[in-house]
Amino acid sequence: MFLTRGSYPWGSLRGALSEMERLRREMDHVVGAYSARPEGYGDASVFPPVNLLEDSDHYLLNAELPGVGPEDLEISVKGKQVSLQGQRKSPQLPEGVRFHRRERSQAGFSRLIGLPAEVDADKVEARLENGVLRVVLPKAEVAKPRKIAVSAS
Amino acid sequence: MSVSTDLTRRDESPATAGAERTKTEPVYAPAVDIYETQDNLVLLADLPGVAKEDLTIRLEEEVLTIEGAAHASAATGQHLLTEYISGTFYRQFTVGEAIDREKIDAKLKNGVLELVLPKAEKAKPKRIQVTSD
Repeated sequence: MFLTRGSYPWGSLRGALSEMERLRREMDHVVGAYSARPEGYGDASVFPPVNLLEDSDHYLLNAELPGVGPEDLEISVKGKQVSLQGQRKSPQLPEGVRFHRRERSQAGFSRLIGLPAEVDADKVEARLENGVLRVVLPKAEVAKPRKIAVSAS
Repeated sequence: MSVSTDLTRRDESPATAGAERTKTEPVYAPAVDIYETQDNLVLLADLPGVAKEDLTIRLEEEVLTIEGAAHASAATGQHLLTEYISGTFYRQFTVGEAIDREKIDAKLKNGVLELVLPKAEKAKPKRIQVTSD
C-alpha cells in the first residue's frame, strides 16, 4: 500500500534529476560562473517542482509556483491523483519595452501527481503563500494505518 | 552621448564568489526578467517562498543585490517526492549610473519581486537666450 522512494521509479528519478540540477546551481554559485543559458525552471526538471510528504493521517503537497495567483490555479483531486493546472501570467508590458534578460517562464503548466493511497477529496485544503502552494490531503479512512490489538489467548 | 542603464552581471565578483555562508543550505540565483521602458528599468525575479520580511534589496554604489531566504515547510513526515529544496536566493547586478535612487519601488506578489528603477532625468541641453539692448 505504501510506496517508498525505491519502489516509485518516477519519483526517485525526478528527485535525482532535481538533485543534480540543485547541485549544478550550487556549483555555479560557488565558482561564481553562471551558465550562459538562462537559469530557471524547465531545464532538467518539470514545472512546478513538487515536494510530497506523508504523515500518518495526511499527504502534504508543496509546489513552487512563483507568479501564480489563486485565480490562475486549478487543483483537482480524484482517487489517488492530484492535478495541478494553471497559467503563469505575463506582466502587462507598455509599448516599446526592450528586454535585457528574459529568464522567467510564462508557459502554462499541468501536472498530475500520483499518491500512494486514496484521499478524502472533500477535506482537501490548499493555500498559496508567497508563491508556494501548500495542499493538505487527508487520507481516506481506508488508507489510514490501523492499530491492531493483539490479544493473548 | 548615450547613458548606459544596462544591468550587467558581475562575473567573478568577490561578493558572489567570496565569503562562505555559515549555513549549508543551498543558494540559488533567481530567474529574472529585466526590461527597460522609456522611464524605468524593471526587474522581475522569481522568489518562491520568500516573505517580505526576509527579502533584502540593496543598491550600493552601482551594485544591486537581491537576497531572500525561503522558509522550508514546517511540515514533518516521510518524504515521498523531493523535487526542490528551499534555500536562499541571491543575485547581484551592476546598474548603470542613471537611476533615481529616491524613487525606487519594490513590490512582492505571489513570490515574484517587481523592482522598478526609475531612470534619472538627464541634464537637458539648455539654450541660452542672448539679448541685445
